[in-house]
Amino acid sequence: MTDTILSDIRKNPVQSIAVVAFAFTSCFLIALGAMMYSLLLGSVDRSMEASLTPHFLQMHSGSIEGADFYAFLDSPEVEAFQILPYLNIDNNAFLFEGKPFIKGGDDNGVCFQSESFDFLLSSDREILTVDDGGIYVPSYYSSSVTEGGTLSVAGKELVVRGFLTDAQMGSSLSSSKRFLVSRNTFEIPRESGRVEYLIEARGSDASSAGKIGSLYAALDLPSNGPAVTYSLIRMMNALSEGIMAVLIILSGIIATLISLVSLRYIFLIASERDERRIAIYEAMGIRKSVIVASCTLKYALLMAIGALLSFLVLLAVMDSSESGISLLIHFSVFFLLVLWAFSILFRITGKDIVAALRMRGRKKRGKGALLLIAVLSALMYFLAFLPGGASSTLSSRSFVSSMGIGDADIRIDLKGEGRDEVEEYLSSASYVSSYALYDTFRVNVLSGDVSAAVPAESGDHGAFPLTYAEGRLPVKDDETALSVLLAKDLGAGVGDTVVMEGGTYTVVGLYGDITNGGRTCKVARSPLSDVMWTVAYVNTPEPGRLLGEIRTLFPLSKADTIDAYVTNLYGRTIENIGFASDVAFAAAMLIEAILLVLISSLMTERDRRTITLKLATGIRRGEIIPGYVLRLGASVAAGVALGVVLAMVFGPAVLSLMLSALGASGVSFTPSYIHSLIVLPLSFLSVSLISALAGMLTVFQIRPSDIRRALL
Amino acid sequence: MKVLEAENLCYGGFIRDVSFSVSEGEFVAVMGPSGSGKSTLLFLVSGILKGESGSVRLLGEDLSVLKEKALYDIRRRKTGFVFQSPELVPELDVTKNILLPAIDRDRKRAEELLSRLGLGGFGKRSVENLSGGEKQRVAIARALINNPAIILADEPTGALNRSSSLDTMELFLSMKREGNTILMVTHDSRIASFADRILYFEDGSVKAEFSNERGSEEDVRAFLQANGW
Repeated sequence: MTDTILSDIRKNPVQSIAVVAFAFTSCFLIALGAMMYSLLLGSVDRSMEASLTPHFLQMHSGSIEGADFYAFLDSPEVEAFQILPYLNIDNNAFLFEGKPFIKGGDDNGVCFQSESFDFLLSSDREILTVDDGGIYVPSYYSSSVTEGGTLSVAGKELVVRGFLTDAQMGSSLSSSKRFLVSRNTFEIPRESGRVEYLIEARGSDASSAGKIGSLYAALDLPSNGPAVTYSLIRMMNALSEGIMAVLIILSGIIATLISLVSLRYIFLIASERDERRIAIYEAMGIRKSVIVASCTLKYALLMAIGALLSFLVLLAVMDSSESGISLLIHFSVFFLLVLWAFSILFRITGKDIVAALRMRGRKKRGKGALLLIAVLSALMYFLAFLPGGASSTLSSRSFVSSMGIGDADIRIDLKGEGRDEVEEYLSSASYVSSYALYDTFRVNVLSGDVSAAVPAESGDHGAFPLTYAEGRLPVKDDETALSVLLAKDLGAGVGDTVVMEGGTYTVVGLYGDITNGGRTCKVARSPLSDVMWTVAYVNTPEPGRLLGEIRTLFPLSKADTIDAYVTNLYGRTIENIGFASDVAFAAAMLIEAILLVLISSLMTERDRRTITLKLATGIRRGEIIPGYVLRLGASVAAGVALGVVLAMVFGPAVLSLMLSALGASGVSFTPSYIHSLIVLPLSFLSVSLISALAGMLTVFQIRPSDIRRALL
Repeated sequence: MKVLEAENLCYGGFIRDVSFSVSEGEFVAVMGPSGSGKSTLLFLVSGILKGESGSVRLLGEDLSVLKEKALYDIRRRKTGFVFQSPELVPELDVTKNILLPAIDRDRKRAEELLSRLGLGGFGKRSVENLSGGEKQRVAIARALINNPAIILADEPTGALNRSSSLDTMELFLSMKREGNTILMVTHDSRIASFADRILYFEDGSVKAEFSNERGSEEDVRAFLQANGW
């Protein structure tokens, strides 16, 4: 049996390589995605456990003097409590080797190591300690800063001792970053920044965060800033990387489906080729199960090679700590493929012994090859399209406006002072086309028995309108719009009423928001409590000029173009999706190439007799080959066209599912038309034509002198 | 002793009420035009097909009551098949091809068979380099490997030239002389003339039986002409 298997593999190299390649691709993509996801989640969980991340965090800008925390502390819900000072410093005051390195509008500041929980960790998850002359930098900036270099913070020069892992604020979706200094160092540049407080609590477990938050709000404790919970921190940590892993897993699943269909085709071809022989074996009394087992073993061997290669490649490039998951996935996919092989072979082998025994002449093989190519090309187009579509959607302006971010040229973030001055400047600047200021204040929103303390934004929401998932923006004083996640928490929808600070408001719209933990609301009326921060959106034909002026005149503000703001907010996410897109594209091209080489070589084999006759009659190979290549190319083109339709019809739904986890709703799917309609189709066609030609090289092995055998 | 007995065998309108038997050591040919049902008859008596009515007994065992697994077993142990095309496994050498259906993987027996069939020393050769006649001899050796009670041959010379066909039939004769029982299907009167007894088959039934005592092709032709076939 071994001889037969090895010899059969050698005699059919194209099919054998195809089986290996399909197994490799399926195993590789799914295992890669799973490993990344596990690495990510495992890493996130381990970091959060090691750092003792708070279950509830309230950021507060301003004084906490006079606040009575005792009732809060005494509550049985609160098992640990601390207030950590955070010195928020202007980004331009951070210099590495004399040059500014912080881009974007995130808050950056220094803090010292906590003593009870919310620790800042090393990459090995050890609690960091830092000397008076040193500083640890968030790993978010690891590409801009090097260990041992000099980092100046508000004029104080410190040596970079290394990078820290911040389980709470490390995510690219978090709008604040913490640099770790010693307690002594922390005291020095105080006047250069603004002290804020991280008021933190831990309960018995993460599920206690809701009750702790409600208690905090009920006691009316300092809350001039956003509040976040453990689960939200975990989500933010997981999402920006997680979406990449999910996309790769999705690609792996599609690749596996394609592999299963392609493998079935290979089995059918092989079975038809060996049909008569198998029938004779059965006539001789060799049981079908033995024959099927032998065939399955052959394919299992090839799939094992593919799976093993994939495992070894991943072992070489990925973290070995995930090799257990990798092994499990590889084994599972391998097992699935072998089971599939066995079930198909069992069904198609020896279907009709008598008919096979009666078979005298050659049987036409490989029917449906062109249809198969079309269908698989459509699937592979979808595979390649999806992550690219995700990337371009996340980068588009329409996505931005469905994320709670206004569609404007410039965004200015203001905390504390300067609001009126900025407004005055904008109203008088001749080169400003339009502007609007939105003040954010804290409010308790009550719906039925459920309440939430969230940031509320007031202003003219019609000036820079968002894209609403449902309903419209609030216009009247007694109207409000809720973020989708907040609405879900409260169980409220459009048309319902909620209570805010004693007043009743009608919910007129729902919108997506990934800022401020995804839970915000909007009102038309003036603020109901102290303003925590203000955001100004500005349209101007001279954005560069405006940015320069604002940064000079109002150094405490953070001004940037919307594009830069968005890039800073989830540029990392888009980068990761871009990586997933590259992986999916490469996988799709590889599978397409294998498929076309396989099908074209099988077509040549099937038509060997006809080709021999043609050659014998003087028709040249150069006249025979183009016909096949054109037919295959037409199949691919039809498949790609179908793939475009699939992508446009189903792409939005698939993306919507993924993005809703980000807090995104009502996303307008915005593929890059150049990528979808030109780059991808051309890539498919080019790869297909080259592969088809490669597969047809077997035509050169057919000689006119073979006519004698062909006519038998 | 009756090796094979078919009684009132019917199948799908192709085989109509066929009864015949083959005794031990007999060489019987079922002859008739293409499409007459000869091959179907062969499949029925070997258990590949099950008749709709009637019975087939092989060494006294009623095939119609056996389950599929038992049928495979009886085919392997009790019959040896020779087909028009030998369908040898090109990846295996001659000996391994012969041993493919073997119950006991007895290489010595395979080599003995090769010698008997005039292919001594061919054991390690690749089957791809053999002539058509040589390949058919290997197929015959494969059919004999388990010492079958009966050899079932379906147009065994159909793909051979005249010379190889005659060689193959000489082999069948020598197998018969050694005591093997053979049931052969053919449309060729020349090939049928090697058999002891000829059953003329047409439209799914045995039309006539001819005892070919002299083993003469002329006698067979005369029989056919006399009946207008």
